[in-house]
Amino acid sequence: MNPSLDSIPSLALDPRALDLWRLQTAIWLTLVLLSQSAVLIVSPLSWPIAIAAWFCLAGALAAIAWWVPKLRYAHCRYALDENAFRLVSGVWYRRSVIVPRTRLQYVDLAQGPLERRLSLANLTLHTAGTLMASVAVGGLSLDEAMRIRGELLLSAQRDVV
Amino acid sequence: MTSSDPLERRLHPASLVLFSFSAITQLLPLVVLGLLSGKADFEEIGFWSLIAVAAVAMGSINYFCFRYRIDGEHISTRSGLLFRKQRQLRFAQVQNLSVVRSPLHRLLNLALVRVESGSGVGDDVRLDGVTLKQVDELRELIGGKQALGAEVTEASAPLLRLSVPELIRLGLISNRGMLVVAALFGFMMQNGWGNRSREVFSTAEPLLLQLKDAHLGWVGSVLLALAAFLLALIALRMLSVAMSIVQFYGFELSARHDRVIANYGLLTKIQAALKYERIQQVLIDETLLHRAFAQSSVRARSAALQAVNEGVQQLSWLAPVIPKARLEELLKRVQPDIEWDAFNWQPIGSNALGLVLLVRGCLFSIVLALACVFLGVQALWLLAVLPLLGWSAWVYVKRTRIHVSASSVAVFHGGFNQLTIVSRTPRIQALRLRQSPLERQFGLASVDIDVAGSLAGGTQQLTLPLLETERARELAARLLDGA
Repeated sequence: MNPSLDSIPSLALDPRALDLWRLQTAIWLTLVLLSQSAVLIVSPLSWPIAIAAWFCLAGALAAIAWWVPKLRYAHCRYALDENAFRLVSGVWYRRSVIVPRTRLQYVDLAQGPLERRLSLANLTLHTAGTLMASVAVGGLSLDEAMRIRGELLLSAQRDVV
Repeated sequence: MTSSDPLERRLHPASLVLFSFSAITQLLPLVVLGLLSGKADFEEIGFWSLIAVAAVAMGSINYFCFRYRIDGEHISTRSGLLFRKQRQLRFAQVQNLSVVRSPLHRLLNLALVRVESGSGVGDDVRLDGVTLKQVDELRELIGGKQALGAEVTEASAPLLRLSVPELIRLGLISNRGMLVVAALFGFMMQNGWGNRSREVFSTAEPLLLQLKDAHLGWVGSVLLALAAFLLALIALRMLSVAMSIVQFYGFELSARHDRVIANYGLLTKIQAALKYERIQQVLIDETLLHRAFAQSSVRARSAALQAVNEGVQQLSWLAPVIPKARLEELLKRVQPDIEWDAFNWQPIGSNALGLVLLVRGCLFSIVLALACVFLGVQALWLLAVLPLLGWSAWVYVKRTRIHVSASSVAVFHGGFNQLTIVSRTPRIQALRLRQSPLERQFGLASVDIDVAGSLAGGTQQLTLPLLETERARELAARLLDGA
């Protein structure tokens, strides 16, 4: 077995993040399903076949909405130690972003309507860099996001460019 | 907003001409659109006078709405008629001050001053149309005269001076001409001029018929094609040489106590200063042709964008071309913290060749399959390229090196066109380990290193490629300690 990309002790996102992502994916896929339903209605397929096709499609999309967020959730972890904030993510393409505490320019905290309802928050770390000028972590509980923000801002003081 | 402030100033009245002229460039897309749609009548003088009036009107609005103000510690500007914009910049924040003088500026005896902070978005304050006396005043205010290099004649010899023969060599090495042709071609295709190719062919038809009548035979045709190719190549290189001379005429790089100052340009004269401390990354290009002439090109990426170059490339030229023997001297001067002669070069992962071969093999198979579909079995001739492809992969993997120390981090891409990218470890903004599914299979990972400065994708990014996962993690930890 290959060594994993980053073996730091890390925390999983809030379990409600999984609900949020499933909900978000479901909303998008419902739109896809609606557009495809329209295609099926106008298609020359006979009714029984069209209905069977619709159910197959709906089933496949439901499976995507269920499993993809689950996989994504299982592979997403973060950690904050005395030196840096780390975020490990990606199912196929694994990525581990490391932002040194001293390099932080500012931190954004954002909440969409769904996130507000689930009391989750989106934390974005900004550096003076280019490729990783902003590192976003979605699906943190609001309390945890505020804790991280507070801790990060305590340490960011000196000239960073 | 209309209060009369004694410190508030307008640009020189003659800059109205500059503003109107730049308005014309803004109107240019409109003119092109009219030209292509065939709606506008270009024979008519009315159309052109309309454009001229619009340009002058736009220029006047921009001119009359612009004010700048300099007090003890700040420079501020306000501009805009409907959308008012005010901007204030502390002198202490200024990373760069560059002076650009186009032929029009020189005719009016004015200059464009660009004051840049580290925001990375471009010019923070842009004063288009100040007198040379005011330029000197500004320099003095922002960091003192000697600091920003008002007088470029100092006892110390310049770091680099490029004579015309050297610029000719630069033109021969670089392929600027090709870039222009590619841009022109792209523009023509985008604007539907591709359809006119038939016209071009019909004009060339008599010539082609004549050639057909000449019965050149097989050898003759090949020779003719070769001659045409060579002619095109020579023409491109000539264009390249001309462009190099226009862009870099009189190039001189001189050092002050804490910065380098570059002066160059034939038509548009540019003077730019770059603090050593603000250099984020150094890029050294050595293409096949560079190596044939024993030359290198050196660029620097700074926190202030477009510091030297007119936005053509978002990097500053430290040396468009420099003999390889003098390279180290220059690098030591501009980045003294880096141990240029003691790099600890390491090879990349031992499995990397397998991965590169696999990726290239897959891409090649796709190309081959497509070629077979469109061209038939003849396309199998492409297989002859396969050994070359394998060989170049081997060369790349074998020569590519990385270097990590407490003071610097570097990668050397060792393909046919070699590129070295170096940054100081304490300048690292963020790190990223990444692993594609294929890399995972080979037990490899890459480390992206992010510094402040302009964005350039692809190979221009500092990445330690294809390392054993364990080593990649160790290096990332070391870099984090140094950052």
